[in-house]
Amino acid sequence: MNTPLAALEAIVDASGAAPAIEALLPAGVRGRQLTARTLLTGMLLVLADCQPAHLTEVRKALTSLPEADQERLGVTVTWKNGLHQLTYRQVEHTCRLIIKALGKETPDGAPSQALQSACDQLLEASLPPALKDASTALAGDWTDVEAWSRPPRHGATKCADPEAARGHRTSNLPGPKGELFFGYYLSAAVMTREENGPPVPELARRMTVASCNHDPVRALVPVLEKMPADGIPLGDLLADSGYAHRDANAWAIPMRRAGAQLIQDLHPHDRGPRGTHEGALIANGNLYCPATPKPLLELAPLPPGAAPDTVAGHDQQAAELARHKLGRLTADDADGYHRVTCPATAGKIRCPLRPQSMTLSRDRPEILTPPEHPPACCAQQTITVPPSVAAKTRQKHDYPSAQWRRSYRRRTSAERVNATTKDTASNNIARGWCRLTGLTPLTLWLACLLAVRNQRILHAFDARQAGNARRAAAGIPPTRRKRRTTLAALSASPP
Amino acid sequence: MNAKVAGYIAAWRPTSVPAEAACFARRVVTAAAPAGRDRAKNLLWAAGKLAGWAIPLGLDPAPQVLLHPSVIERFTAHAPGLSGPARRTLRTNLRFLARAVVPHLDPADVPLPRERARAPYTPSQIAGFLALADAQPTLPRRMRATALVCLGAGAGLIRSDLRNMHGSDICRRPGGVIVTVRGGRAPRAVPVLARYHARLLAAAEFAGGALLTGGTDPARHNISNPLTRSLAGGTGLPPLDTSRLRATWLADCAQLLGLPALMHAAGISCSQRLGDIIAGLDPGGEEQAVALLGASTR
Repeated sequence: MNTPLAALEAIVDASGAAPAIEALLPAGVRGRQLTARTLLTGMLLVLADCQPAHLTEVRKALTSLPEADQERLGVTVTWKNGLHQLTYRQVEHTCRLIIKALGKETPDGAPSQALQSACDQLLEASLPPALKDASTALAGDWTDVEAWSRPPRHGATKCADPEAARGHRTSNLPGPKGELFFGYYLSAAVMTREENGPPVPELARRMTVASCNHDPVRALVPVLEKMPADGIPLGDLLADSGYAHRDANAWAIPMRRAGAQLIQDLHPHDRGPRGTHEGALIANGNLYCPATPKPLLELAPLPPGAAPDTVAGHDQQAAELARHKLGRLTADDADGYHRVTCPATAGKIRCPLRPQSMTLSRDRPEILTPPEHPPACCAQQTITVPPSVAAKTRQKHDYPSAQWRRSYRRRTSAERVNATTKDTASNNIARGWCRLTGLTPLTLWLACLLAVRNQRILHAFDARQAGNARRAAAGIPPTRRKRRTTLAALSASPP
Repeated sequence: MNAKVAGYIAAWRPTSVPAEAACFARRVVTAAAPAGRDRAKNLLWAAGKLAGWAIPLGLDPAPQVLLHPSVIERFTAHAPGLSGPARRTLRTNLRFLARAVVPHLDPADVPLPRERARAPYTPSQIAGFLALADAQPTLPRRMRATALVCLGAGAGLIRSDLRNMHGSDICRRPGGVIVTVRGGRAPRAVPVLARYHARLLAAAEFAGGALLTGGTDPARHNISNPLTRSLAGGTGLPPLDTSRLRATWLADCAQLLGLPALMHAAGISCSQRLGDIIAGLDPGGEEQAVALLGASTR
């Protein structure tokens, strides 16, 4: 599907990026024929046509427009000696000026504030106003973007793209699973449905690009932190263990402070018991009774495609673990402190140290060997938990409960963003897609790519919704994606 | 434990029970030393089921943990996927294992005496009580004593039902005599055995609207004690006990209805299942009560 020119122009105009960039460009004596607005529109046109991010393609796209549009956009102008059509040299000139204006004085591998703002504006403008408040949930992930430049030769430090660096990527293609590459990390936050909400189109809402010398997690945090200031509240934030494993100050604490509710996978090094607080065990972001059975504390999330029996057993274990969790009594105060109470006091288990709990029904677990010298969590009615306790691993749902699993399943929308940027049938950001070197042009092209990709997603979503509505009117159930048959499923239900 | 049973336990490795749970089951059943192979099989099944449920929940597969009364109770009462009979069997077997393997956790109760149903009086003993009632020195006492025996042995009334009975509560119906129990836990119409009709009707006529067994306050207690004392003088007669009078009425009714034959034919020795079945049936009214003992309502 080719997005019409009017829709692309509307995105550029709604973003306000073009005038902002234009204001940064030097005002020469002789007027520039190609404006920032037309260049951005041309870039979007190229990507909508599934062409590589080359300036020659931009010129080709602009000069292929109907004459009236060319005239309107300034692709064709009347000079004193007749009509003049845009040349490649002019495209390159305007592009160079924009790159210089949006780049940093001393490139350091991270986007400038002006560049990041332009990207934010473009992506936000690619969302229809009706869908801006459809969901506050975001899924985040990063992927590799290989630079056009070759890495420095062995023993040298100079290369065509000094901002690019060597990074590591995990491949699911045949061959080695992990490999080095030379380039950048593209981080994107995509809108996904609310936990119990209706489906929403998975539109990329924020992105940033950083050199592989920079931590992609730390690069994305300020971008997301700026969203509430722009009037976009943060809700559920889904991220994989790559984000969760970062230092708490790098990810969890700033995101929580910005209002996000984390739903994240834990790195194997962060799972299980990790110290105590007032005698209570700290595990998987929660506090547990000191007599909690050890195998429950070491419960790991289910592998993908687990058999139904395995899922049921895992859920039973997670429910048993939840009974041993200290119950939260208060919300976080202004300083991030909250109070919790022993699970026996909360009536979830039976414990001889809490005689009242022993009168409860025996459907609850009983602590058979309570601590000989009861710690504060067993002796006091409540304990205070400072924000430093489980700061990195604390999240919305108990890890790895059924509720967490269902919620975390939404994170795959971030993977789908990565997949669409590497789709050989449309746009593929593999090496050579963009032959401009440096972070600034690449970031601008990637922002345009995600804006165009949002239009494709919107179109597909609307078509699917309309199809479902038609089927509903005819009394036919909505179409369902065919489930992939797995070996686990086959072994669970033999013929 | 003989070698055959020990060999069976050592070789017990069912595919349906996880290896760790089976290991626990073999260990505790060996410690319990069952007498026969069938008993060992049942105990192994119970211990294997318990361990199969508890080990995934993080409980240590040790006898002092898994055979703890609270764990057994939680498993048998609340573990999912067990039928009612399976729960009862599992609890019995697991408690047996716990008593044998970890007796300090739940010492066995000292068995207390259990009372059976009271023995009914024989017809000659009832005749003796009626004769004693007739021998009372005054008419009111004769009537009250007769009413006591007739209401107990003829209608099976005891305690408050007996104390609350007025003369007007006895009425003749075509084919029989009915006692209407108005208050108490179970208001009902009770058919009176034929051989007590005349005496009971006479006592009722004498009492009129007053209480049949004497006194003025229905809430009074120990009213039957003076009457039973007055009937305790017969040589060779056992003490008069209203519970035994009721047992006599029940035995007579059961005989009349053919209940022993029914239970024998159905192979039932305990009335619990019978009670469950009858609870779902309509008990009927006064007409059915009159017809109960074979009388016609016409």
